[in-house]
Amino acid sequence: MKSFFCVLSLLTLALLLSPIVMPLLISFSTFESISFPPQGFTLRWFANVFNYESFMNGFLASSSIALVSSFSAIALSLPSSYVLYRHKALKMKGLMESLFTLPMLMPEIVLSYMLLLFVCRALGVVSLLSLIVGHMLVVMPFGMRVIYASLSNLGVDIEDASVSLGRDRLGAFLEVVLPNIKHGFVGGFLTCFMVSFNAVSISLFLSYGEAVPLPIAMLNYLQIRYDPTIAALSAMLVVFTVGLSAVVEKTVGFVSGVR
Amino acid sequence: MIAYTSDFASTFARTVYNEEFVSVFLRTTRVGIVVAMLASLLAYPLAYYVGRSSPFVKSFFKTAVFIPLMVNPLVRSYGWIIILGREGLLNSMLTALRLLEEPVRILYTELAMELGLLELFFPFMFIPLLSAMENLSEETLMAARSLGAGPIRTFINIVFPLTLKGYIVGLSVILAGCAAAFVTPTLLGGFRNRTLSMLLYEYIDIRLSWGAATATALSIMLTVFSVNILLTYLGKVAVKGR
Repeated sequence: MKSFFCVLSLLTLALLLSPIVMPLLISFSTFESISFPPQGFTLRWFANVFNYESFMNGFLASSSIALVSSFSAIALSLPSSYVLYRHKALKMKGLMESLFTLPMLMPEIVLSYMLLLFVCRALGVVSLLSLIVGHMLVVMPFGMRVIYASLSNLGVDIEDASVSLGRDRLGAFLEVVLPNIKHGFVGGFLTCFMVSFNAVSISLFLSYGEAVPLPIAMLNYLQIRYDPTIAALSAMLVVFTVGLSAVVEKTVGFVSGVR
Repeated sequence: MIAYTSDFASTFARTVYNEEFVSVFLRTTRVGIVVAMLASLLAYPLAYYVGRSSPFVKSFFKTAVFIPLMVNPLVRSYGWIIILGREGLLNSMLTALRLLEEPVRILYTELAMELGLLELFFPFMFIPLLSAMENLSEETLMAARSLGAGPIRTFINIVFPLTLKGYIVGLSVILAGCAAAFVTPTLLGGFRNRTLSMLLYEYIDIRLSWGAATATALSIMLTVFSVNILLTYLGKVAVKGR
């Protein structure tokens, strides 16, 4: 019975991981199209990725958008998490907690469409700013969750102790609270970064001429052809994002980072 | 032209009451239900096994299940294209083993879409189930066994009720996710198997009909929220009923 479950679990794992491994397999193949078994060895497709301007620009655009939006999301989550964490007797605390994480339930595609409709079309704002704000709205609940969790884990006692020992409020916050939640910062920031970097529909709806994030460049490329260039790019992205997630794992652990 | 004018009700009715929309809506629902069923079938044994294994095995499986979550859904869908395509892994394996005369069409079907979505959302079913399984004590299962319950009876009467809360959380994430997913159905389902979110994009990008797009967005949101509310309610009833 035990071995039956073991085999079944390994099969499920194979099902989950095979789509991620496939690009790695195919990206070194000399064939022009996807075909099995992969033959030969070439780095041509990797060179293609670096020579294709849209991918390079897309990577730059995606990472700068992710950097700015995650940074602002964290900067905005900190004060709101701090209030929720300090004030035990806050009115409707439960409601506020869920309001801050509720946007996670909002389908990204609906949120993107609403932003397109009300910000881009009605107000006529089509710029990098709307793209960044859109990404920030998508990632903020994730950042809020991690920061709030690490503040709650810290507890209020240590801050109160330093205040009762004569430190003023601001000093206690800067020198006692912040250093103690720095792992939360790193983890929250990286989680936000990854969510933003991987977000497709928000970029699809809000991107415009000059700033085309990487996923959109990939979608556009896939509409033209299916050659292993995309596989090479995917392989690099897998290595990049899995590497980043290893850092998240080291700092906060997956479970608090993901849900 | 923009949809927040007073005649939105009639636009909504016109968008929703037509054959195309109804068929797309039914397909979206069907795909969601199939994916949720497949995920339950796979996640329960996995969570049961991982929940009662050694810490090393546990952390191995946890990490392995979490890794895909960090990878772009676009990349994961592309991986499925490599597996399911005409010249893909599955077709070339089956033809090489002479199980198939010639490649079959798997990509751009509902099945491909379901596989992609299953892989996309599986961790969200697994995580809450695993934590429910970890809270399930070995003594309870031993008690059931010593009282003469077989594995199936133990599952129905003990394991399932005790993990129901986690299961419902997973179920609602999967159903809501399938109703709103965009990239995976686009790349794996193809134009003929459109889902609600693809229809929404089509209204904006090709048909330039903002009223209909808003109506579609609203129906996606209503679907997601009503599924969530219904499942939360069912969970409360089930927990109280015991």
